[in-house]
Amino acid sequence: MPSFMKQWKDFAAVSSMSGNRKPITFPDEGWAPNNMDHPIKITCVHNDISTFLPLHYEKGTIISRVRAKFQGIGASDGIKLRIVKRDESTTDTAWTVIGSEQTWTSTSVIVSTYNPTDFEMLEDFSYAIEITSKVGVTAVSLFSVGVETNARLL
Amino acid sequence: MWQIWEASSFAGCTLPATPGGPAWRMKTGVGFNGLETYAAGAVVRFPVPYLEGTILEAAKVKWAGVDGEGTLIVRVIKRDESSPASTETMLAEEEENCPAEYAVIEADLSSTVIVEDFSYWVEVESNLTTDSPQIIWMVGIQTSKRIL
Repeated sequence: MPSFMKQWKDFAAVSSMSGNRKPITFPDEGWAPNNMDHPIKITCVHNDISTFLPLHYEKGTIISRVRAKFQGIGASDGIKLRIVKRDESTTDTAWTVIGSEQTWTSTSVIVSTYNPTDFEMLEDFSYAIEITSKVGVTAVSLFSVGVETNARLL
Repeated sequence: MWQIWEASSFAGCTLPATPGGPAWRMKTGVGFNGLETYAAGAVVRFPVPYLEGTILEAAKVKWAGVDGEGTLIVRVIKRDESSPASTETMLAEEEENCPAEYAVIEADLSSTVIVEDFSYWVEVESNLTTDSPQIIWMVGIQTSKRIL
């Protein structure tokens, strides 16, 4: 499949993080949605709180880029993004980071894109995009994450 | 074709906007897997799986209220995630009175084509008028042919 078949798949943060998000260190807080206010997003007032969006498994799919739409409320507020995977066919419990961690800050709504080396989704692994709050002043809001997929090899 | 999901396993973030605020919670037990709320204004959102070119025909939710009071509101919403623009567009909205027992509420999407760069979700809001709970068991989307 030629490269022009690349396409973005974007997921609203508030609808795509299944289940409750209830960090052990901050019960009932952490990443939480606004209610009916607009724009619809999730917000975190604490530093270093992670939440995960699953990358749905398609064997052989190549992922070429990842992006996130977010807004820091304070001057140095933002997010850290990692693409992680784990071999679920063994007793491994640790994530393996694909590429490197990205740190972004912005006080306006921004779409930041990470361009790792293309990688192929493999059988037996689970995949996720990990978003961690970087709150030095006030809070940070996350609107969405997206992945750009390329050809499927299988 | 309908694709349906059990509500509690497919829901997005269900924490309240503020601690202690209105929210949908897990309801478990024999015959009761689902989401439940005792508060008006509780909102939960479900993702619409992205397949470029898929045509969305309708969304539906299986639900119930205990005492026949209040309404439930179902919306389908999209947003352009490729730019800093953060305004949502409502594709459909349906509100129905509480049924005596369970019922299915359906929102017509008028053959909306899923396009790249947009996220899509189904939003369900409780509109309780009493202290009796509302329950959601299932959410589903109806799709027809893909045009791409």
